Amino acid sequence: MSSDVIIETRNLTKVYRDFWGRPKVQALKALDLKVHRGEIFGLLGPNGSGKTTTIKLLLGLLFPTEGDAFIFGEPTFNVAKNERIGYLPEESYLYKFLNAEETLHFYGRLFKISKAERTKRVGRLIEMVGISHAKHRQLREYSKGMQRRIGLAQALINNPELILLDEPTSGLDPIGTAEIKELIKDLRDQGKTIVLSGHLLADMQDICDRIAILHRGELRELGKVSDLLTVQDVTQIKTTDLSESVLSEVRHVLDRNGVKYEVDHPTTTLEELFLRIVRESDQHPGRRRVAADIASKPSVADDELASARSK
Amino acid sequence: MLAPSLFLFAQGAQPPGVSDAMKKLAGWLVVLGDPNQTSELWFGSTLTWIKVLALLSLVGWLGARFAQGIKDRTALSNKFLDIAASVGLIGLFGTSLLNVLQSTKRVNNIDISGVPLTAILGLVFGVMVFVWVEFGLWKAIGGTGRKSDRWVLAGIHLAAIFGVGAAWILQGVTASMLGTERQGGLPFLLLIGARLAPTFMGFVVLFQLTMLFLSEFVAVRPRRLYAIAWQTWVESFRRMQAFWVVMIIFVVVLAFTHWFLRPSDDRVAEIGRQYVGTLSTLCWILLISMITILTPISLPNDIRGMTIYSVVSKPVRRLELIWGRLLGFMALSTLIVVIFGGISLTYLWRNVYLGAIVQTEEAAKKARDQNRLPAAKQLSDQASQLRTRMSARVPVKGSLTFLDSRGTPQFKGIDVGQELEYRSFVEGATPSAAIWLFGDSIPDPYEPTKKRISRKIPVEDFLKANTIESIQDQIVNLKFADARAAGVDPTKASGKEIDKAVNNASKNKQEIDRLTKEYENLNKQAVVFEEQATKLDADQKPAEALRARRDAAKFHSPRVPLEMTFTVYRTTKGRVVGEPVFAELEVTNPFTGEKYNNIIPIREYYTNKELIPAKLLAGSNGALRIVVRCISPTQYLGMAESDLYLLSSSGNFGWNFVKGLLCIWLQAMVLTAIGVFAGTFLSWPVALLTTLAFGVAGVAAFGFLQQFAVTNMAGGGPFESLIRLIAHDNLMNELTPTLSVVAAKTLDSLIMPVMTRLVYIVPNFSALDVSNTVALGYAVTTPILLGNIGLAFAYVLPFTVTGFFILKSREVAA
Repeated sequence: MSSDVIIETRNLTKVYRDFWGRPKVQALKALDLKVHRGEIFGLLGPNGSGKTTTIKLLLGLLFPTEGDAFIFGEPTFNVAKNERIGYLPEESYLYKFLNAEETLHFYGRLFKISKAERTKRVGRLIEMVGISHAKHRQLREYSKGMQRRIGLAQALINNPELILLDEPTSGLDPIGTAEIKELIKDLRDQGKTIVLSGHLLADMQDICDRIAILHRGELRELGKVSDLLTVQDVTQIKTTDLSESVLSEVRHVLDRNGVKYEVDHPTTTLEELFLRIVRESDQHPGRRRVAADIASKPSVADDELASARSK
Repeated sequence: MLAPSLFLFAQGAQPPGVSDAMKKLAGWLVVLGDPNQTSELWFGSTLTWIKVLALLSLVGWLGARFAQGIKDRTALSNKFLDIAASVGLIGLFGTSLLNVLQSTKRVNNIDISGVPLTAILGLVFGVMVFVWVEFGLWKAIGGTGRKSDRWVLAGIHLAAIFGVGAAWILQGVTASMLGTERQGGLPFLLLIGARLAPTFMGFVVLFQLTMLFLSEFVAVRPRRLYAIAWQTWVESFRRMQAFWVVMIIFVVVLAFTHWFLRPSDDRVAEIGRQYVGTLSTLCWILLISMITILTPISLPNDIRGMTIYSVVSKPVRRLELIWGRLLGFMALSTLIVVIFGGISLTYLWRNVYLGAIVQTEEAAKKARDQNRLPAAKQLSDQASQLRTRMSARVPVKGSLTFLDSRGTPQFKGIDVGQELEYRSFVEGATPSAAIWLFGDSIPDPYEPTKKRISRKIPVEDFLKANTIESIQDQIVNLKFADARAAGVDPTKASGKEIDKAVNNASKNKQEIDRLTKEYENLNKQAVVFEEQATKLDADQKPAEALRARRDAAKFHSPRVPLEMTFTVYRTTKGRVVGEPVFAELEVTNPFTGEKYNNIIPIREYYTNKELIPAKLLAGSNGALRIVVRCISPTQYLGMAESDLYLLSSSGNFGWNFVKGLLCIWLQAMVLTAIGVFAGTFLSWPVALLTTLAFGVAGVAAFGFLQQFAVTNMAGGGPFESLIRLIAHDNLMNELTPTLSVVAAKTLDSLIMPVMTRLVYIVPNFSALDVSNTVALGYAVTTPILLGNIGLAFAYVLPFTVTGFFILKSREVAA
């Protein structure tokens, strides 16, 4: 296996059985894939498609029914490989009776990290995931989003080379989601390899270099996001807002060439709109700019009606 | 190299014409292969432990592989064999039924060519099942693709052949010692091979498991153990609130304890035992209850709540998960035991020492000052008894045998019909006597002609250095050594013969002469003081006489304390009601013939004390013969081996109490290991019940299981017992072989072999319990403590390692 390949699965298959050993569900069918150093790799698929099973198999939490999986060239049952891995489960399965600091110290002690270094990392990670204000509260008092953040921090406590994130933005608000996405990109820029699973397509599209699409345990598509999303038989030209005269000239040219076209103003995403509003609100607290305000202003008709009533 | 005499089996009669080399080989094969035989040397119990582990490993390994094969459908791939196995299993049940019918005389015994039909059927059906299992195993293990498993499977087959080979070697050597009357031939080979081969097969599996364990063990890191232990500790406090619950119950119970503990007036000394026993029991109950509830819940909760995902995805070994939890729970147990211990000792100090001993001594002093001498004596005795109980006495015990009323040697005394009394009795004013023997090599009371045991007195603990008796002891020992060197048996030779031997052997003569001079010198000085004392007595100067006697005593070793606790069985009230029963005590040094006699009144529930002259031990070589007779006609004295002993020393009670708590801590550790083990593969309610079952079986039913193990249960197995229970039938009656009785006996015959093996895995908590020893004021000596620590780890290690293998082989995310 090339040193550039961090994860490799060969014919990886998982069948869940009942107590009597009868096959219940085939969660994964003959998965072959490679994840390369320094990329963000997305496992995409609907619920029950085998994304989490794949991650659990890679971590040795499940045993494959058939096939093999390797991380850093080592078989997945080799515990020592976990020294270089960070893992965020799909839910924040953490000890609720510990506070954030204790949690990170606990997980930090499981790695070969000096006390001084561990203390430094704990402080830095708590700040990074934005829960400094609640670091002495037990996790049972945390909201889902805060638990997700501390979960992410524990996954990074060992400064891992490979980070496995199972639905990392689940339970987060759009701001948190955006921050996590930024963080993931930063980690990639630091040379780390990231595998993440999810079914929020926009999130995956934003950050993944490559994706694998799974459906009912089978690999349906694998490749670069840009390659997979490009619609080859459509051309899109973006310009600044065109005047009516320029637009009619363009239409004329297109009509002359028999091209089918649509002219429209692009819309932003709800996520972008939300983020812009929240940022503006942070910059100018107190100023309201809500669509409902506009709607509540008296219209011309209302003015006329009011005037008629006064006569 | 071990001599054959080291082995139990070798103590029996051997057929003539067997060479020493063959005996030695046979000895090794039996000791290594038969789980019921072992060496009497220091490693004997360890060897038995290893053999039991080997057998359990074999059963576990084969069971797990075969069950996995069935689940994967690799083991059930031959329909013909599956049908044959089904027939075999039904056939085996039928054979058991036939066997019961024959034994209850419902069906006549049927033999074919002298071989019982049931044996033939059992063999045929057994082979059918065996072939099915064998085929399934090869298929299952071939299916897993693990090379090491295939090697082990091949290895256990070779070991099975070796076992049968060993049985072949043993033919004609020592069949009688293996408990079989068969000698040679195929039945012998099968019978003995079936006993030896599984152990050898188990060794192969145990070797593989040991290698796997060692590879895990070397990867264990203290920092990770600490982390898991810390998490367990915090969880116990914050989530379970276990510490606070236990503490509150302890304090509440303790607050009312003294309301209920009131000894009767004639057993005032019992107050110490009652308090110590109650506190130890309270500590034990609370700690064990906490452990039973807490330990089996932790790991299943982690698995169910999936918090384990974020732990095992770190470089944490499965063994660390188990040992870390064990350490965390034991840290909690340690804290609780330390706090309980501190509170208990303070409580005992206030209630027993200040509240009973000091008060009684002050009352005795006051009575003496007021010249109420009988009351003073009684109070003084009570205080002495209380102090005796609140100490840590180190007894030196002998071996007890009896003479019955006709003077015939017996290993038990007279049974007076008290079922719950473990003591047996000697009858007053008859030749009946209890004889305690001390010495390096004395006959075993149960096998006096075959076996010898050691109950040697450590003379150096009793004789003070550079005293008359100590030097006398050295002289006699040197003389005996010289006599032996000259080929004279000093125990049989006369004094003159020994002196002659000493004069001839030049080896120790100079030393003997030097010691003799020293002895004479000391003796002379002592005699001077004693004569002075006699003269001063005559001159009516008691104080000076006492001082002179004390000076004379400095040349002697102090008298040797002898303590006795006997019970009295009265057939009549006696001449005067409450009159004590008298015992005659006779102590003899068997080598020098020195004797001491006394008649003492026996006080029930009291520790009767006698000081015997130290010169009795001089030249005793650690041997004494102590005879106790009851001289009160129509009365009986009851005694057991532990009821009479030489008191070697009396240590600090507080430290002894701490040792008692340590043994409770050890029991908690064993139960913790079981709880954590159960949590590796069971859901928490089932794990909780399993831990509880182990605890109850280990505490209350170990003796019962031991009886199971030797299949010595009166009233039959569980099913037969159920019928007796319903029918109100007693244990000794032979049941009428009705259909239900036959069915019950058949089921018993099938499950009893499995149940008898439970004794191997149920922990013997009563062996670890020393609370009664502490409460009675006896020392928990270092050998007892080390033995208990060893025993506790002998349970903890296999349970935790088995837990590791289970956790390693299961999918934590399934």
